[in-house]
Amino acid sequence: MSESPRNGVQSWTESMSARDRIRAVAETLRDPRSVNWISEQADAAWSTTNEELQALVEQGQLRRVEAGETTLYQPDYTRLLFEEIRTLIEENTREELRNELAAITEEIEEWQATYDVETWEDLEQSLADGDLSSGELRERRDVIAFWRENEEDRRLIKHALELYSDVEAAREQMTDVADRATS
Amino acid sequence: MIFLAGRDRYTQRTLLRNVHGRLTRQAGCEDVRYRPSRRRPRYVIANVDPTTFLSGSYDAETARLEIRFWYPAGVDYEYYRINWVEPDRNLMLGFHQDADHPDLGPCHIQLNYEDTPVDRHSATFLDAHPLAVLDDRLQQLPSAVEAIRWENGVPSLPTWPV
Repeated sequence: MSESPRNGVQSWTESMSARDRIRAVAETLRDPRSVNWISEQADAAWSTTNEELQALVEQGQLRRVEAGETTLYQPDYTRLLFEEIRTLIEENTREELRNELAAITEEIEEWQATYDVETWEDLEQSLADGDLSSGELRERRDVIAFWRENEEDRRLIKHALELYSDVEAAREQMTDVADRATS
Repeated sequence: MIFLAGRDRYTQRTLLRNVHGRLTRQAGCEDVRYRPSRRRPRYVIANVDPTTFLSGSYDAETARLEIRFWYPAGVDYEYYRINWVEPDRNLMLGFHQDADHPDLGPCHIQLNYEDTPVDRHSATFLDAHPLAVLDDRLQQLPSAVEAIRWENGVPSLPTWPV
């Protein structure tokens, strides 16, 4: 190791504001967390974190959870779900979404054929097979994770396709109102 | 940890978008993208200019970062692979927090050459939010890459932890 290691990697405290870091941490929490914990993870002052979390609660992005004497925060997961669906609709055509569903199905069919199983749960059971090498185990564990993600994405994309026309109509209505206001 | 079906996946997708944003702002990272697609993100990939990323000249002209975070069932912390890949030399150095080498603890650093693992050491488990973990690991990556030693055409990582 050299005496002064070369490093061109910027810390996220240099490239993002404290409020943006707090927001990024808070919106991706898996468990309810305290202001202290979030401020530590985001490398931000307690008071800034507290203010930002209150603002996020008011905007409906976060929920407050009372746990005894402690106040904890967690994302509003329902909102997160709808935002994912909205992003899928706004960033993709119907055809792109349908093609993605086809790609998911094709991938799952390949795994079913390769491992001679129907579901990822079947594949998970095969991990107990003592004959598998560490490489095979690793590969199967990866496939199980991808398979679960595929199933969850398939559900999200299907929701997006079901809501596509309604969201599109709502957006057109907004554009019409804006056009009338400016003409 | 309360596991709610599906919920982890949209948290993970949001996380990967934050990872994408993080790499997009990083000097030396270009063409930041998702694999297999933006609609179905599993990995965030970026082409890396080693000279800028490592802040000095380097033996390989191009490299790639491949980042994956995921939430396995029945484990109450995230798994990840944060890989530095040099396609021209067929070399990979990565921080892996997964179920692959429990003898090394929950997290290890691994060096692969020509698709075969050639060196592996345990790495500290960081009990932190994934974005804080990513920040730490990206900071450590240049030192880890610098620590690769070549002998008779084979790389190893003799001085880890650096």
